[in-house]
Amino acid sequence: MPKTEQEKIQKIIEIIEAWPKDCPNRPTVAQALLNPDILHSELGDPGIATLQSSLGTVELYHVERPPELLPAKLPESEIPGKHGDIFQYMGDKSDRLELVGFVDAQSEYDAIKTTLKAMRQGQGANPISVTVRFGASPYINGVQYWVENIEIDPQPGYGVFVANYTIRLMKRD
Amino acid sequence: MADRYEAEWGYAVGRRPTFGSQIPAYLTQSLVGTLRVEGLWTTDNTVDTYASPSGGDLPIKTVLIEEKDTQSPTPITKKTQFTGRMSPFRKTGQADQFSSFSFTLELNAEPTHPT
Repeated sequence: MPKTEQEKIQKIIEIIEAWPKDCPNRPTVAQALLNPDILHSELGDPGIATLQSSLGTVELYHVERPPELLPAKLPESEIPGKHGDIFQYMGDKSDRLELVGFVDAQSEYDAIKTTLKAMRQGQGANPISVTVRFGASPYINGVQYWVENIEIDPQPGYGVFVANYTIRLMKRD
Repeated sequence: MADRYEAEWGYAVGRRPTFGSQIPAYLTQSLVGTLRVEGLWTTDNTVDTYASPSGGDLPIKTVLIEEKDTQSPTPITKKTQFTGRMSPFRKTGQADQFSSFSFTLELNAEPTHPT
């Protein structure tokens, strides 16, 4: 964590430098100094979510929703002559996470289409760690997930490259 | 016989909030623009025919507005040209009074300033 004002300013500049140059929502230094909340983290990673393995790193700058599903295994039993089903708790299943957001630059699209796909192909030997931040606080911090299906849905009516995405993940238990 | 006009155009700005931030991302979207013209209606006016589709498409019409200032010694004339599709056309009237009309041109491009 940066302690002195000089370290904070240096960190702000480093975060902005890490943003894609073609992103129209890339903050300026002046904006960030006036309102540091415009940056998602003061810890060094510029994205709201970060997916990282030894094969690469993908920063997601515009995550809108990161919904989670915490599934349980509940076998169903039916008893003759009785109304209703009976369920029994048999344990937790692997947690699911979705990263739903959009890209507004082609370099962000390429990161998902190329880098993340290559990371997915090698995820058996190179686990992918996922960090999701609420503001500057990582509440999912370096947790290993399997990357499942990735959906990319380019949008009409913009002068810059805008595409919605959904990245589905399953916790690596 | 047009005696009043009002035009507005611009590119919509979409706000897309992101998780954990109260500063949304701003995305410039597609062009939106209209020109509204009002005037006195006369019996030889045929501008209402432009509100009918031809071959399923409304014809693209051009409206040229000329403004001239009174500055001496040489008053300057400035032209602004709008193009687009007329929708809708309106006409109003009342017994013993004059009739008036108005139309809205849905712009298909930014206005230009021909010389």
